[in-house]
Amino acid sequence: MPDVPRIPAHPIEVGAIAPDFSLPSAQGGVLTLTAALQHGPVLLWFAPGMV
Amino acid sequence: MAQVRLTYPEIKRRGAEVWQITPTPAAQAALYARRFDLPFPYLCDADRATHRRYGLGSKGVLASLKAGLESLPGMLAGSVKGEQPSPVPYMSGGLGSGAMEQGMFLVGRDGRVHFRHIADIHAHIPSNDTLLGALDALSSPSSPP
Repeated sequence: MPDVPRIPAHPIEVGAIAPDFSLPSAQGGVLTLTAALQHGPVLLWFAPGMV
Repeated sequence: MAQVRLTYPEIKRRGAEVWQITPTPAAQAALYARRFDLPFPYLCDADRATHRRYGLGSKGVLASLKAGLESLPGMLAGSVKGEQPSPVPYMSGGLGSGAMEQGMFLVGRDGRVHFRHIADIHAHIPSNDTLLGALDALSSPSSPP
């Protein structure tokens, strides 16, 4: 059975495990959170676009 | 982006990275990357799946429409001046149809969220001092959680 990501009803809280993901970058390539965390913290900024 | 760009060197000095995650389609984002000096990774979450996994939802039709109308003049002006690509791809799905809750999550090397800020559409993001303070707290030995 495939692993279906859980969709939280509210923004995830401080202390929670951050869901892993991979997304394409405008600068090229695909970035994966767990891989980036090997190098240091990551500030995820969910923004509307060119702001 | 300008505010975070200003403090980005300090964030990097603390060993951290910034990822801007947007609903921008990949083709549109590639145009941005060619035209602008994007200081940090600009990621495309066109289907909003990652937004939803972090619990960020749509702000509803009225809020979306308001956000779309507010941003339209700037997008059109930028497009006419050649500073931005055409806004047509955004509008093709309905003006403001993609407006989502915004937020910042600081994820530590332990994979946990150590700081978060949830904002309304076009609301201000935390001050640079707040962001750097969160990073400093993360590197402190007694850092919660």
